[in-house]
Amino acid sequence: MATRAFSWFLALRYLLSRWVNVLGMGGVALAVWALIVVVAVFSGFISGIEDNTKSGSPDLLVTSLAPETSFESLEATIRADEDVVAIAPRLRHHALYFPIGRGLRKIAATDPLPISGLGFEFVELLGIDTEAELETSDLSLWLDAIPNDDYGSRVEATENPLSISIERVRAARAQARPFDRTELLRVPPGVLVSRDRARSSRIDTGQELEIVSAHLDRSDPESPEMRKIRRVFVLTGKFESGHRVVDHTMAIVDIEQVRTLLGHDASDPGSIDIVSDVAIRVRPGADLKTVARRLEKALGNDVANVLTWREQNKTFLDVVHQERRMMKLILFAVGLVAAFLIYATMHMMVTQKVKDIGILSAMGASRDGTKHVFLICGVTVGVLGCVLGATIGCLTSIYLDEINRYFIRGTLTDIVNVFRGMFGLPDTVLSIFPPQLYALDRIPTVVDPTWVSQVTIGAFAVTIFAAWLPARRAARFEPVRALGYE
Amino acid sequence: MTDPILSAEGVTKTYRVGKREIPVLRGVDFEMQPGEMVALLGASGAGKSTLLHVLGLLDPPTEGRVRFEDQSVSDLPGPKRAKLRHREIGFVFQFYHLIPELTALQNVKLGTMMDQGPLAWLGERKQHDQDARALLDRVGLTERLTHRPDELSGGERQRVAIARALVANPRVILADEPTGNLDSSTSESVLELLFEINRESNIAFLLVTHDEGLAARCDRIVRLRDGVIDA
Repeated sequence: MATRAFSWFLALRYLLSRWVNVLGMGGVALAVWALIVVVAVFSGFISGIEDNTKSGSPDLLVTSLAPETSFESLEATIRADEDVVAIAPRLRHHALYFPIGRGLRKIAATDPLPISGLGFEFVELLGIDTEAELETSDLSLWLDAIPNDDYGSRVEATENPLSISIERVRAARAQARPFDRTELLRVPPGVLVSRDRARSSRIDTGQELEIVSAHLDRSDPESPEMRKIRRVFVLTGKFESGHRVVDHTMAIVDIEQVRTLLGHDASDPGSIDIVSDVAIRVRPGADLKTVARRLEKALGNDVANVLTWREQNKTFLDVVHQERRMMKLILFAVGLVAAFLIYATMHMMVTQKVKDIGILSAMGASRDGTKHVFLICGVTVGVLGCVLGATIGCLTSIYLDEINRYFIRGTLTDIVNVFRGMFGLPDTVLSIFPPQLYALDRIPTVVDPTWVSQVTIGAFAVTIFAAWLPARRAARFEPVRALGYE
Repeated sequence: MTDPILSAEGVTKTYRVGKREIPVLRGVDFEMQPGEMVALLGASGAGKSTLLHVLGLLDPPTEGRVRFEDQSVSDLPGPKRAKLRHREIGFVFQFYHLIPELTALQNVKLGTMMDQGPLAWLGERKQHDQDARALLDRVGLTERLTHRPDELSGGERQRVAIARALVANPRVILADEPTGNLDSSTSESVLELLFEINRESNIAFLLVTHDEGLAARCDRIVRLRDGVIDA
């Protein structure tokens, strides 16, 4: 049934004469705003985290290899794949390090290795072939990363990246001559740690680090023997991959150094170029999963696992995405509260207007016409709330960094400090996003048009339902009872 | 004698309160001629208002039927009854029943919006406005057009209600104790207005009242006692 003129006219009058409708509209707007802003910030963080994670991980990683696997045995098979662009051998080994010259307090003097002494830190040595790694991963970016401690001010540049070896690789390239890996054996062993790690360990470039580890010597298969390893490395540079696991646990050294530590000195006859993993860069646009499964098959499924960068970080990324899903669920509850607000507002309006319903019936209004009065009220409140919330939500998401920088850190901080000053408290700086906590120079936000549409349409649908229930109640009043209602 | 414009045939109305059934109308036969002024008298609880609501199609009869002209209308579907009520029947209540958010003019104009869509109504907006102003002028409220009900006296509110009842050009007006809430001088002026409209417009009036004096001025008196019309 078409809506009659009186439904629109009366709905407009009711809306304009009742401030409680503004409350309902504000509730819907707030819910839509929160859904858009929080998810935009979360998506921004996730996008940043994924970028960092991707940058800290090779496209594909051949892993779970048997001990003492030779790179040579894998290389030809991997390179044969049409989508493989570059590969790099990696050798990981767990170790401890402590800065030489710093006091080391032994707790148990009888320990064969002083690992219980305070001052040791655990680290995973990541041995890389610099030349191959530059082609395969974002190593160059890690080394050239210039972290910002504050907005716009670059305070620390990495120096001497990847120690001497990378400089030599670069020099060889500049001179268009082949790089001779034996050059690396003639220089002191260098090690790179992340900037954060260097800061937390209070070490800087030039610091000598004693690296201690152990490995199972299988040269006599009948009686493998645990051997201690100690070697002094020099901290020759810092990196920042943005990948928390890499930055917090890895120390990068040349792969030959790790091989030597594990008893495979390149100068020994019979030594093999052992690897624990192989990093792979694939052709841009290639489907990583397809290439990974194909390589697993080519290598033999029982030989190795081939993981895409997502699979390498599956647990971490799953947790991040799960957090976003949980946040959406919580915010959905906020949306329901807004719907209840609309319902309560409209229910109250219907209750207060029962007599009007009777009057309208006496004047010849149909039940549908009466229902439309209250439905138009509720839908108008819902639509205005949705549009307002979506508009402010999008603007807030896009300009959140500016709002934080100029309003919260600026004007609001100034106002708060005036009051703090009145009570003798020291000045403070307010911020919804402390940049030093995340090593980001902006609040990352991603406004997803699909999500904005889903939220707006969803909220609209919920408010229509919330308005429809009281409107239906209004239409069901018996005219005579409504006229006598007090 | 012409055909009745509004009639009730064997109308009963029983309300149910819990498990109890309370008969209010017990077989009412009633007719109104076009342009007739009928007074419906009866003690409190006799069923006067119930009969008025049944005749005005606000409340369906339990048994029997209501006819408008020669058509049985009490069993029409809801939307058709609403349309008939709008076009042919006007109501005037003891407590005025105006919409408090609307001015006097808007309350009257509301009656023009019942069977038109918003665009059609806007197209005839000027005509509707003129009609409503003319009616308020006729009931003596030219100076009170923009006043809301709470800014009007009881007599003025009842005049707005009368103007509203007239706006759709009905052929029957059902008035439920239209002066029951007014002082005597105001009552007299409101009654004068109703009789004047009856004389000039040939609209049939059914006046529910306790006032024998008022009833005596009508064309005919119908007495209702315990849900039955006294012979």
